[in-house]
Amino acid sequence: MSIVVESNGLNIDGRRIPLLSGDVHYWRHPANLWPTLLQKVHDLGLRIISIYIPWSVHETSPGNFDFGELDPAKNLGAFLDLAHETGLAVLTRPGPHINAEITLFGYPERLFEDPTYLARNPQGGVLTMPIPPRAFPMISYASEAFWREVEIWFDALTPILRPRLHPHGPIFAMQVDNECSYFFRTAPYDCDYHPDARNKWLDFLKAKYGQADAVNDVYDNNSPLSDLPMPERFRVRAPKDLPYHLDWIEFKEELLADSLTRLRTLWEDRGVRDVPFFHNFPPSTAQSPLSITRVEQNIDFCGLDSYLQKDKFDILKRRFLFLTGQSRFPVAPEQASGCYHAWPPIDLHDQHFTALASYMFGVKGMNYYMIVERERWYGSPITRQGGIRKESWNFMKDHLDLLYRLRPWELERKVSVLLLSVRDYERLENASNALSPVTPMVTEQIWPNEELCLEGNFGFSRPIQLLHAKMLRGWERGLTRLGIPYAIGSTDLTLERLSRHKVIVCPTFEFLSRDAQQRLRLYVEAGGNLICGPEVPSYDERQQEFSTLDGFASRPNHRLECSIDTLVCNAGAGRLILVTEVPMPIEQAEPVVRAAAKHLHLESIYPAIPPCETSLHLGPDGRKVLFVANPTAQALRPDIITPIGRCFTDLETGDKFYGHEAVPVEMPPYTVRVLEVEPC
Amino acid sequence: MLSDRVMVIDTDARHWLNLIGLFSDNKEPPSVLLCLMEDNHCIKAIHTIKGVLWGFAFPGENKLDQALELAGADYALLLPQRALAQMFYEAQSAVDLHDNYVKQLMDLIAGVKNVLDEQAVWYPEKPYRFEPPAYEKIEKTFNRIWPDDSTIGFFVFENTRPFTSLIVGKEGGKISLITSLDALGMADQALDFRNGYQTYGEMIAQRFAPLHTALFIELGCFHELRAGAKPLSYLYLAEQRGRARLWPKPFKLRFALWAARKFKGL
Repeated sequence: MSIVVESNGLNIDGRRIPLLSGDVHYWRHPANLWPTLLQKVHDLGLRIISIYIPWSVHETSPGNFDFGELDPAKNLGAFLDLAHETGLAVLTRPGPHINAEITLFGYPERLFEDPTYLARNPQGGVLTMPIPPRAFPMISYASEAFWREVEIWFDALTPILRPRLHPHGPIFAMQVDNECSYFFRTAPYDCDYHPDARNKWLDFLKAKYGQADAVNDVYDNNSPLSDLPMPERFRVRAPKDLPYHLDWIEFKEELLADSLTRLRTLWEDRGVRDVPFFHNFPPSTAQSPLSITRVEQNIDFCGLDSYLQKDKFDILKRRFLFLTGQSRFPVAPEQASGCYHAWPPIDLHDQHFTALASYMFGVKGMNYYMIVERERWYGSPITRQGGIRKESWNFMKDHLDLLYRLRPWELERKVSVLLLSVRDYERLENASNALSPVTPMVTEQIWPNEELCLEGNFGFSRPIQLLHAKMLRGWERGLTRLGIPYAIGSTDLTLERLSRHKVIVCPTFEFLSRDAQQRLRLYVEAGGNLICGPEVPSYDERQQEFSTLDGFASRPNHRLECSIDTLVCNAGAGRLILVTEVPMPIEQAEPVVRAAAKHLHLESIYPAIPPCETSLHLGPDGRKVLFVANPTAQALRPDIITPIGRCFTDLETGDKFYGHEAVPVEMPPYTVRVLEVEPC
Repeated sequence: MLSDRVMVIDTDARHWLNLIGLFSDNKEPPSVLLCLMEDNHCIKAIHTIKGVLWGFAFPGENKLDQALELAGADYALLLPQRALAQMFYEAQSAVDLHDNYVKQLMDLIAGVKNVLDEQAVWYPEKPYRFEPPAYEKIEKTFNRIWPDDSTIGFFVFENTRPFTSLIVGKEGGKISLITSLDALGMADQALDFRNGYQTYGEMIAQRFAPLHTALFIELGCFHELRAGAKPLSYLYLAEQRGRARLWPKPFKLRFALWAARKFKGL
C-alpha cells in the first residue's frame, strides 16, 4: 500500500488518481448537515475534498481540545469517517497557519498575548497583520516556544488523524502549513528579528561557511561572529558588501523551507507518515524568499494558490510557467471557486478563464476553494445549507466534465526552451528593494512586472538586480511572439531537470554562485545549448574569483546575424551562445531571439497571431491538444498557423475549425479554447 | 464597531458583485510621483499609474514643477527612504490586539499619517485634508444613530427584480451580521418595493432583527442620485415620485436628513 507522487498525479496503490478536489470547512456547518453537503460534493463529480483543521476552533484552553465532546460540529473524526463512507478521499490541512478567512488565521488568541511567540521588526516591535475583522500580530516561525505549542496541537490531532490515513481511512495527503511566506511579508528587512531567529541566522552562517572565521573573512568582520548585527537595511557600496545581504535573504528562504520540513518531521515522529506531504505558496511569482525547489527537497510537492481575474493573464502565465518549470507535481492547491468578500471580486467568467489558462501552462491538478459555501465566502456551487447555486453548480459541473474528458494531468506541454531565473539575482533584487518594508506581494499587485529595487550598480558594470528580470521578460516576449513554447525555471534546478531542455536562456553577469556555474557547465558539456550574457561570470556568490564558463566563451566559433553582438562557442557536446549586450528596451530582444531560434532550429508550434497565444500538449495515447487563449476584452479571429491541413475541435463547445496553413478561430473576449488537433 | 465574530453569510454572488460595481468609480485618481530620497538624492522614482521611472533625472527639490512635468504626474511626494521603516514601526506599534477593527485601522492610519506629516514633502500641495475624528466620537455617534439588535438595509431594484441587496445587523455596539436577500430566499424574487417594502421588513425582522431603516431604490434613480450634487434633496424628490423609499424613517434620521438638506444644502 503506497502513495507515490508522480508528475501527473498521485499513484495510489498502482492507480493514478488525478488531483481534483474541493474545500469544505466542516466546523462551519452543523454536523447534521454534513451528510447532505458531502453527498452534494460527490454528486457534483468530485471524489476528493480538502479540509483545514483550525487550531483556534478546537482548543478550549491551553492543552485542552474539543473534538466533538462539546460541540458536534467539531467532531473531526466523525467528519472524516463520513467522508470515507461517502466515497470521498481527504486532503488535510492542519496548519498551524490556516488563514481560512477565519479571525486570527486559526491561531489561538492566547499566542498573540505572549511576545515570545511573535515575530519582530528591526526595531524590536511586533508586525501587525491588518486583516479584518481583527488585526493581529504576526507569529514567529523562528520562535522555539511557538514550536512547543505546535507540538501540543499535533499531539492532540494525532489520535484522530493517524488511524484514518490511507489505506485505513480517507486521508491520502497532508498539507504542512498554509501560504508560508512570513504572512505575505516578503520585504527583505521587515522580519524576522526574533531572538531565536538571530540564533538560527548565526547557525545558518556557520553551517554555510563551515566556521565562524570563514564568515568573518567574507564579511570583512573583525568582531566575534556572535556580535554581528542582523542586516536591517541594504547598504552596499561594492560587491564585497553583498554576501552579508544575500546570505540574509538565503537565510529567510531556509527558515521558511526548514519550517515546512520541521512540520513534516513532527508528523512523521507521531506516526503520521506514508502519505505525501505538500505545501501551497501564496498567489505570487514565488520568487525569493520563496523557493519551490528548496521546499521540494523535503516536501513531496509545492503548489501555488490562484485568485486572479481574467484580465491578469500575463501575471497568471508567468506564475504558472514558473511553477510548472520547477515543481515535480505542479498544482493549484487553491483555485478560486467563489470569492472572499474582502478580495477583488472573482466571477464565474474569471474562474473559467483562469482555470483553463492554468492548465494551458502545465498545471496538473486543482483544489477548488470553496466547493461548499460558508460564512465569509460567496459564489460556491453548494450553499452552506446543502442547496445548490444554480449558475455556479452548472459551471462547475461542465468544467469538471470537460476536465474528465480532457485529462490535463496526462498531457505533457511540449517545451524545448527553459528560461532560467538566477536565484542569486533574485536575492539581490529582493535585498535591494527600495520600498522595504512594504511587501512585494502588495506592490506586485499594483505594479506587476516592475522592479522596485534600487538602481545602483553596486560596483558591477550594470544594475544586475534590474536587468536580470528585464532580460528574461524580453525573451518571454520574443518567444511568445514567435510562438515558441518555453518554461521558466530557477538556477536551483537539478542537472537532470535542466537537461530535459534543448535550450536554456540564463542572463548572467559578473557573479554567479559556484553551484549554478558548475551545473550550467555540465549542462553544456552534455550537449545543451546555453544562451547567456551579457557577462561571463568570473566571481562566485562570495564575490571570490571563480569561473567555469569563461573557457567556453573565450573561443567563439562565429557570430549570429543580428543587431546585437552574439557569439556562438562550441563547448563539449553543446554550445554556449553569449549575447554580449543587454537589449533595451525589452522589445529589442526580439532580433536576438529570432536569430537564436533560427540557429538552434527552434520550432514555432501552431503559433497564433498575437495577442492570442497557443500551447500544444501531447497525450500518452498520441492525442494532441491545443490551448488557444484570447487574453483581451475584444473578440478576435486569429489565424493559427499549421504546417499542413488541420481540423481543430473545441472539446467544450464542439465547434470545429478547419484550414490549410492558417486556421481562423473565433475567440470571444477572455476565452481559452481547448482544441483537439486532428489531420484535416 | 465591527465584531470579530461578524457573520458574513448568504451573500448572493450577483448581488455582491453588483453592489461593488455600484460604488466603483472608473474615474482615474490623480497621479503621484513618489520620490524616495536619500541625502537629497532621489534613489527611486515611481509614478503611481505608469510604474517605475527608471533612471529618472530628478531635477532637484527646488524644481518640483519640472519633476512633475518630466514625470507627467499631478502631485509629487518626496519621502526619505528611511521613513518607510519608521512608518511601519509607528503604525504597527500603535495597534492594540484587543481593540476592534475600526479602532485598529484608525490607529494604523494615524501612525502612517504622523510620519507623512512630519517627513513628507508634497507638491504643489498635500492632496488630502484628512483629519480623522477621535475614534470615541465616531463610536458614540454610531451607537446613537443605530440602536443594538436591529438591522439596516440597502436594496436596489432593476424593474422589480432585486439588483443588489445588503442587510447589516448590529449587536452589543458592533456590526455582527452582513447578508443579502439570499438569506431570505428572495435574491431573485420579483417584488415591487413600492408595495412590498413592508414584506421585506417583516421577513428581515423574523429572521434576524427589526429594520432600523432601509433604502429601497430603483437602479437608475441610484445612479442619478450619486451623480448629482444634492443627493439628499434628490432622494426626497425620488421618494415623492415613488422611485425610492426610505423606510422605516426614525425621528433622528428624519431630522438629520431634513437638517442636512436645509442647512448643508445637500
